[in-house]
Amino acid sequence: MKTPQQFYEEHVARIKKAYALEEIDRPPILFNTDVFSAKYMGIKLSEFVNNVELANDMVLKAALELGNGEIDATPTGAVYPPSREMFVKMKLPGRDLPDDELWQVDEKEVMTVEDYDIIIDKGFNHFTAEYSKRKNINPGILEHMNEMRPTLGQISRKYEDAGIAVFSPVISENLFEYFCTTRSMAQFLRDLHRIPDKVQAAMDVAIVDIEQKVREQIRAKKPLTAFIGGSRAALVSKKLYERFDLPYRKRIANAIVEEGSLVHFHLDCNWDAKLESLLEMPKNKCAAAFDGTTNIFKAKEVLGDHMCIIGDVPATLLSLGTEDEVYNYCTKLVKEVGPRGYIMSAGCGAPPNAKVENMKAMIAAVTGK
Amino acid sequence: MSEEIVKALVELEEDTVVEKVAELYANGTSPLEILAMLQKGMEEVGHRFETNEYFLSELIMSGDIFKAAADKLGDAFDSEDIKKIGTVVIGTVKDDVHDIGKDITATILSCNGFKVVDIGVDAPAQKFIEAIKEHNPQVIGMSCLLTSCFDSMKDTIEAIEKEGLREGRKILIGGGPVNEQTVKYVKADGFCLSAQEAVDTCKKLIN
Repeated sequence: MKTPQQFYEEHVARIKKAYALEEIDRPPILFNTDVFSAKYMGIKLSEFVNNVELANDMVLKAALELGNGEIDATPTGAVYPPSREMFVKMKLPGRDLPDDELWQVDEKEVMTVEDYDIIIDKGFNHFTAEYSKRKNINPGILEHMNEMRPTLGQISRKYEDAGIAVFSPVISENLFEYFCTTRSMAQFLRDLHRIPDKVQAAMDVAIVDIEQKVREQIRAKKPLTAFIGGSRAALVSKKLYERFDLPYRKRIANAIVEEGSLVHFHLDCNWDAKLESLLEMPKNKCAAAFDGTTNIFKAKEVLGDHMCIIGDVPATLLSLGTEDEVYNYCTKLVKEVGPRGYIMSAGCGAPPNAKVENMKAMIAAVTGK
Repeated sequence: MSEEIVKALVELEEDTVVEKVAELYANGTSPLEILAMLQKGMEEVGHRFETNEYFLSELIMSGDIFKAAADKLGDAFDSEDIKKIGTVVIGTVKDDVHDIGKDITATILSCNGFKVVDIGVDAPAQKFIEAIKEHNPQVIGMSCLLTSCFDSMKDTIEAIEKEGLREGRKILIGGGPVNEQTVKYVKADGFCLSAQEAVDTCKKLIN
C-alpha cells in the first residue's frame, strides 16, 4: 500500500510527463470539482463564504472518496470565492443569493476610462491597491484576505499531505480578463475600438508589475504550474487578439518557464480560430485547458506536438448526460487526445448538478476501474 | 450617399455614420430610407461575423453605431410606422443573473428590425408569461449560463405551455453551456450560439 507521499510523487511525475509529451501509463486526472464536491458531501455553497475550512475539507474528502487514490491533482488548492471582491462585485450564496446558489460575478462598469490614465501614470500595483478602497466594492476585503492567507495555505498543504498535487497555486493576472471584469466586457470591447492606444499604453505599463508579481510568487511557492486565464480573448478578432492579448500572454508564459514552473492556460470559450497562436508559447512547458466549446480534437491536431491538452468534459454532459455517454466521450478523449500529452478534467469545472455516476464514469474512463 | 453610410457602418466608422445620417435626415430623406441603409450595413456586419472576420466586439460596436445614428432620427425608429419583422421577448431565467449575452443579443435583434422586449435577469416564469400576454411575440428567447438553472428553464417552458401560450410561437435558448442536449431536456425549439445566429434564426422562423 503506497503512502500519501508516494502517491504525491507519482502524481507529480505523471503530470510532468504529460507536459513533456512523454509516453505515460495513463493520463493524469485533474479534479476541478469544488462546487460539485461541496454538493456531493452535503455542504451548502454558502459554506465556501462562511466556513472556508470546512467547505474545502469536504472538497478534499470528495476527491479521496471518489478518486480512490487515482486523482492526481486539484486545480488551486483552497477555494475562496469572495477573494474576487478585491476588484469586482460578486453575488455570493448566503449573502446575496440563497445558500445553495452558485456565486456569480456582478459585472458592471466600475473602472472608468480615466482609470487607464492612473495605471499609465502610477503603475498597476498602485492602481490595484487603491482601486478596491476607492470603489469600496467590499469594505475590509483586503484585510480579510490577509487574515485568510494562513488558513488558505494550510488547506493547500492538506491536499499534498493526502497525496494530491495542487496544480496551480499561483494565478497570474491576465489583463484582457481583468479589464473585461472591471470595465464590464461590453465597455472594454468598445475601448479596444474607441481608445486602442490608451488601452495598449495601460497594458504596456501594467504587464511590468504583473510579470514581477508572478516571478515573486513562483520563487516563494515553487508551484507545479502557474495559471493564466483570459478566456474572453477568444471573443475578439485575430487583429485585436494579436494586439491586446497575445503579446502579454506570451510574456507571462515565458516568465513562468524562466522561473522553473509550467504554464496552465485556462481557455474557456471557443479558441478554434486562435489555436495556431498557441504554438508561439514555450514548447513542452504549457498546457491548454478547454471547456467543451473549442474543438478539442482539432486542438490536438494543431497543438499535440507542442503542448499538453487538458479537458474538456462539458458541464452539460456531466449534468444531463447518462453514465454511458460520459464514459464513451471520456474514453474517446483518452484515445484520441491522449494518452500522451493529455490531462483529463471537466471542462472549466464540474457543475454543482453533475451526476455522481457521471463523475465516476469520467474517472473510470482513465483508470479502467 | 447611401452606399457611403452602409460602408461606414460596416467599417465601424462611428462619426462618419452619425454625421451622414444627421445630414440626410436634415435634408429631408425619410427615416424609413435611412433605416434601410443602416440595416443593410448590419446585414453585412452579420455576414462578416459568420465568416469569422468580425467577432463580438465588432457586433457590439455596430449595434452602438446603429443606435447612435437611429437616435438622430428622433422618434422615427420606435414609431409604429416602422414595420418590424417580428417581436421577441428575451430574458435570463430565474436564479441566473448573467446579462451580457442577453443584452448584446437584444441590441443586435433590435438593430436588425425586431421589436425586442427585454424582461431582464433572474426572471421567473410569471414574468415571461406576462410579457408574452402583453406583447404577443413570435419568438421567446431564454438565456442561461449555469447548468444548475436548466431546471429553471424547463419549468418556465412548462409554465408557458400550461398557460396555453406556446402554440404558434418558438422558444429559443442560449448561453455558454446550452446545446442540443439542453434543448431536448428543457423542451425548447432550438438554441443559438451567438447574437448573429439569433438574428438569422428568428428571421427564418418568422418568415
